[in-house]
Amino acid sequence: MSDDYQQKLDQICAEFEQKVAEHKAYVQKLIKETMRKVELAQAEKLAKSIKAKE
Amino acid sequence: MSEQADQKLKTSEDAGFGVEKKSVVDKGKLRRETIETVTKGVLDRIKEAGSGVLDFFKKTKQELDQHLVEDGLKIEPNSLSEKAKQDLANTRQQVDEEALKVKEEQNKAEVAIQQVLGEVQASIVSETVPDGIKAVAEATPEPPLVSEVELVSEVQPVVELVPEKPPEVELEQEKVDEASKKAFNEVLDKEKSIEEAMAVGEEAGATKKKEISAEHPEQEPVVAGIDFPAAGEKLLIEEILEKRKIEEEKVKLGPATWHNKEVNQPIIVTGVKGWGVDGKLYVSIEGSSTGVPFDEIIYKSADELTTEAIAKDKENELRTKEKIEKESGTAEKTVSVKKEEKIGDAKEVEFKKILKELEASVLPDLKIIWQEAPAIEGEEQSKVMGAYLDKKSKQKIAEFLAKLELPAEVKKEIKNNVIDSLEDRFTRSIKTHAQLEAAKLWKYHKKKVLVYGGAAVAIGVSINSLRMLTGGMVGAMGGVGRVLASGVMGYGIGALRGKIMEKLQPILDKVTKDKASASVWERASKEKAAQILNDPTVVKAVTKQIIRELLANIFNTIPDGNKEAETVQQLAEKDPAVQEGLNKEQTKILSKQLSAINALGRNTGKRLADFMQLVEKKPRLSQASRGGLIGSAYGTSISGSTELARVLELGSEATYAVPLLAGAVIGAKLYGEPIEKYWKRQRIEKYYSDIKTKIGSDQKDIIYLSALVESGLLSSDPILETQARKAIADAALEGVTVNSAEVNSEMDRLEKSLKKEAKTEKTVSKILGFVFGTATGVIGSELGRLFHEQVAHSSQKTGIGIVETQTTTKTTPPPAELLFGQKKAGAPVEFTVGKGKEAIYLDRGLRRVVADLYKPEGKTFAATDAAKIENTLANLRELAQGHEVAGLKSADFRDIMSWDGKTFKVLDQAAFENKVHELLGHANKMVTPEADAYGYTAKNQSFYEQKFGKQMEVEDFSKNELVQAAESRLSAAAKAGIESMPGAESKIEDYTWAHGKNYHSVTEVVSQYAPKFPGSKELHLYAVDADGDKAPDFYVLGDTDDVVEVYTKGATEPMEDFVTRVSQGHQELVLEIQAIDKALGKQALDFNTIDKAHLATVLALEQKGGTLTTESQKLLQETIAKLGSEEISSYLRDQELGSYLKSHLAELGKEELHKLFVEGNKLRSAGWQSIDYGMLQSLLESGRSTDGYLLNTNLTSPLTGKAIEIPFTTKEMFNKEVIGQAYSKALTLYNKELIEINSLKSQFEEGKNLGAFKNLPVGTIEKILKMDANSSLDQWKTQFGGGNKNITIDKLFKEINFRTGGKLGSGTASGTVADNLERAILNRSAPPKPLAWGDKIKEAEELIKQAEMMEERLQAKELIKKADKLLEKK
Repeated sequence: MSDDYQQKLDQICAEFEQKVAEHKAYVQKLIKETMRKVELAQAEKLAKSIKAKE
Repeated sequence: MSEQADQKLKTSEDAGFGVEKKSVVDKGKLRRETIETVTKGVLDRIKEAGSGVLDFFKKTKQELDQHLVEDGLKIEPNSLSEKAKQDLANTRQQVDEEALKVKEEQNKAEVAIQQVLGEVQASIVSETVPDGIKAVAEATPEPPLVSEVELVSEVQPVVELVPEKPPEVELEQEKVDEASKKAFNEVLDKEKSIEEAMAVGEEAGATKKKEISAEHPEQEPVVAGIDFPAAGEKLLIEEILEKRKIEEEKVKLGPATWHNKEVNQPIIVTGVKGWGVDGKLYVSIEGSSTGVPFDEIIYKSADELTTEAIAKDKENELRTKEKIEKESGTAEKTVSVKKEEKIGDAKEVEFKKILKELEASVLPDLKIIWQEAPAIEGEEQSKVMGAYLDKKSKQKIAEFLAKLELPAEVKKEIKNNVIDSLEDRFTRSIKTHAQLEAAKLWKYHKKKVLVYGGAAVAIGVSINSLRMLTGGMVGAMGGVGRVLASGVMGYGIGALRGKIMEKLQPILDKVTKDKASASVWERASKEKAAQILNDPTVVKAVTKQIIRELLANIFNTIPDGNKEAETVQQLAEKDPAVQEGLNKEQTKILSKQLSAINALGRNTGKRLADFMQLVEKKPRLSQASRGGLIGSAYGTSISGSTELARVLELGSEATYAVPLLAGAVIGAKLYGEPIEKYWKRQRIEKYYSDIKTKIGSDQKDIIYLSALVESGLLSSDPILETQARKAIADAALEGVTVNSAEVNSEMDRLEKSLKKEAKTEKTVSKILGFVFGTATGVIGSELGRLFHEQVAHSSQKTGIGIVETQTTTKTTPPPAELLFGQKKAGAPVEFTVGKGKEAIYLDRGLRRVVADLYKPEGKTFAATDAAKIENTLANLRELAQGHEVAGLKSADFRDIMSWDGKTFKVLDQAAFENKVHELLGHANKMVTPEADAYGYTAKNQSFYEQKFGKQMEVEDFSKNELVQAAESRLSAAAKAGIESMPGAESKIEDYTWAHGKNYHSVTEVVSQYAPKFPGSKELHLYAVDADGDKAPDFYVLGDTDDVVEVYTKGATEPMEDFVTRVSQGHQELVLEIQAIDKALGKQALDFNTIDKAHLATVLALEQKGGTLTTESQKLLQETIAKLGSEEISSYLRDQELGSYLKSHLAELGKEELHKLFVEGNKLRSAGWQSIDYGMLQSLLESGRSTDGYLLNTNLTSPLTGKAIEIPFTTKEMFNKEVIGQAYSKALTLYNKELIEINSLKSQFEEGKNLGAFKNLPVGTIEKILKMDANSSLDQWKTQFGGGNKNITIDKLFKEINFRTGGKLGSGTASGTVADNLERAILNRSAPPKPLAWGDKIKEAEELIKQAEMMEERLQAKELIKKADKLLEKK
């Protein structure tokens, strides 16, 4: 098995791993944002209900 | 890649390439191991990365879900706002989408890896040509979309759920592979593997060998005297190498004598030079670069050498050599073709003779078919070939049976039944196998099939040629359509074609549609081909690859094939000569290799033969499968070794050899199964019918039946098996019990009796298997050659040349059937046509002659031009045959032209040309828009294109309305069995009716052509054999009011006399029939004269001078006894039923016959024109039925749970083809429904794609499918929704609504959701199913419901109005 092919295979693996990492990062970011939004929404709601009670 | 894999790679590389003296085998093995390790390592890496992130996504989704669940538990105001909920849901969906993307990436990466590994493998087998492989790899199209792959891979149960159907090739390759193996194992008897048998064989040892040879002395050189191979036996290549090693070790360096007839010279041996193409070891000697054969070396000085001593040494050496050969197996023996021929014993000579006979009988006809092929459309073409193959095979069986020394009874049975049975079961069996083969081929050759289109298909199906690839790649592309057709023709079946066509359709479309103009495809392929072909190294590399794959594939079809395939690969890898090219010398080497491979095939055959002998006592093993396999062994050894070696040794015509080999192997296998099934069935039916009558009363019968079931004898027929089991169960209920000891002893008895029968069957099956195998091989190879000719032809047309290889090519003589003399300008025309097809070829020759003299005008060669030529040539033909035509007398042509049935000669060219011009002038008048001549133009489109295409544009005749009209007139006439009678004047006498046409079509014919008989009346046409010569002498046409008109065929006597004579004969016949009826004690037959005539005609009763023959009397008596006088008339109205009855009366019980009649009636009332009652009977036997319009398939719809019924698309011939089509449609529907329901489930229950929640309980989709299609979304939600579920329900509703065509809940749909879905699926590929009565009733009910609602509403309005008025008043 020549180095050429070995290199090719490694390249494919590396590319894939990189893409996977990108997707993962994107999802992580997405989750972070969503959770932030949810918390914010909850806070707003709480604030509103407190206001209403007052 | 993992560290471990890295390490292994390193180690194996060291071992493989670092150590010089390691054997090639080991190298190959290590390389393969290396590739495997690397593959696993890399793929693991990808999987690891992929699954890591997917796990992460999964956890993320769970977290998101958790928030939503928790939210549900919280009490306001802590719960989430709607917006937050939406955000969470959206994010979840996005995570899903990301997961899909990752999966897609993973798939892509895996595909890319496989591609690289493919390259690696390719580079290992031909390291010298990496560029070539690169070209192939570059040309590889995109892999299928990931989503497709995923979708199909999720459809698990398709194959397993319907065991009797052909596997869905495209659905899942893995499954198909399994199914393929399974099917083959069935042939071999899956319960007893070869390895096991081999182990038994080892024990049995030498004694068995003797038994075998004693039992079959005629097979001496093939079977006996061969060491029985043990399990785990060494590969042949290893044996060869080992043997070579032993020889090489004998070489001593230093002084010796080179001694042969001419030379006696002292030399100094300096080392081993290598192995020559002659299979000899050569040594290097001092002072010369040429090697000396080692067997001519003697290690004594020349002086010491006396002639005697030399002789003695030689003798000893030879003895050692023989001993080695005997010990190590077979290879060298069979590698040498010369030796092979010496061995040839009487049997082999006999087979060679048979082969020649086959060639002589098959090939000329094949050529004719081939010549006609361009005029026949693709589908039709495969039919023609299929029919031909079928016919020839049957004919050959009959011939061979005649030669066999078998009891007359057995011969008769085989003749009558095997052949019928073959016909009946042929299609299904072959289709299945063809599909399996196609599936395998598709899997293994996908890349090349896509790259080379038709070329690789041809290789794959083993019909077409090796030479095509070395020489005619480009041409092959031009002729791609034909490649497919011929590839398929080899099997005679459209199924394979269909499967491959599905994939190749886009390519084919381009090729066929844009044929006239240089299309994009053609340009592209030209470029690609040029790119490939300009580099001979690449061509060779590709060729070699394909040869190897082809051979590997052949061996994959036989047991132990993997090993053999591997050996092929090793052989190819090993020999540098093959890698460097295929010049004459090297072709020789290749031929040696192929011979060696062939020897392997032969070896396998031997093993099988031995194996079969050994497991003789196992009744479950089918005789016919043994026969088929022995046939394959013979097929390989005879057709293979003689033909292949002969052909290849000549250095040319490789085209024939490989398909021959493949054809023989595969052919024998394909044909083996139907024979096997027949035997099994016959045997079982015999036992079963014996038992059936006694069941319930005699305990022993139940034991017998149990033994049959236990032994698996009934397993090939599930229906019989079920019946048997039922009978056993019934008996058990009645208190009849069996003990297992009794059953066992019964099984032993069965075994013995089967063994006895098996002996005869074996002999017969063996021969049959061989005949089929060889016939297929011969046909296959011939097709290969014809194909090449065709390629050469089309390449001339397209202007793309064939690249000739260095191999010398024999010039193929022009087709024998049409030999035009060397034609100089103005010289008289003369041509000879082949035997038996005079009409076709006379026409063809004359077409050429007339076209030569025809001067078309204008820019376009139109259908009218062609019709004129057709008209002229038809007249010329009639004149040549001595008929008078068009005001010209045949006698006037006597001095101008001559035709003796074989050769057409023009005696006076100038006068002839004048006459042709005269006829052409006549044609100007005769070719009116209604002329039938138009009907012959489209068939000969290619001829006219060839002839006039260069000088002008040629119209597409098939699109011409006049042509279409003429064709339909001609085909209507052909269907009705009407033949044009030349020279006749008026229309009614112009036609005669073929014998045996059924009642309905005749009525149609009569209403069309005999206006004297009012179409409204019931008309009968009877073909009457007045003189008992079994041919109809006249036809009686009449209606029920006894208006009778008689048409004679030849009108050789006055009509009145003829009628009187015949009616007298009839009177007597009728009286006799009545007498027989009375004698049987039944009520006298009460028919009118015509019905009696009908009865006699339908049963084809034979009579002499008005008296029935004894046989006919018996037939009539039996028929009346079985049917009863009352019913016989109506039964026999259907002539096809009558003739079926005539030959099958003994087998049919009254009940069965009645059923057949009822089913036949349904078909007749549905308008079927012709019924194959044999097929109808098998259909009924298999528990299926029709209602005339629909085939009830016994399959239950996965969607609706109802039986699947498939409408017939034609109402012409009700035969196996039609049934097969409908059934395969049903299977397709069934599979599509499975896919549909699975895809819905995976989409919604597993939360895929749509990002829905996993909260639809299992079974919801099934329940929804049962809902009324008019239920609204709200109704769906009420029943299955609530909370978050509503989102999913919403999507599900939309999805199903989309899939059903958007009528859900509209109030206009009918049936259930599943019904609509099923209809939509059916309509996706087929014309809409006509509404069944049930549906129509439902539809009506719907309308009534709507009307009622409307009425209620109106009534309500009235009430409101009244109420309003009352209110107003108040």
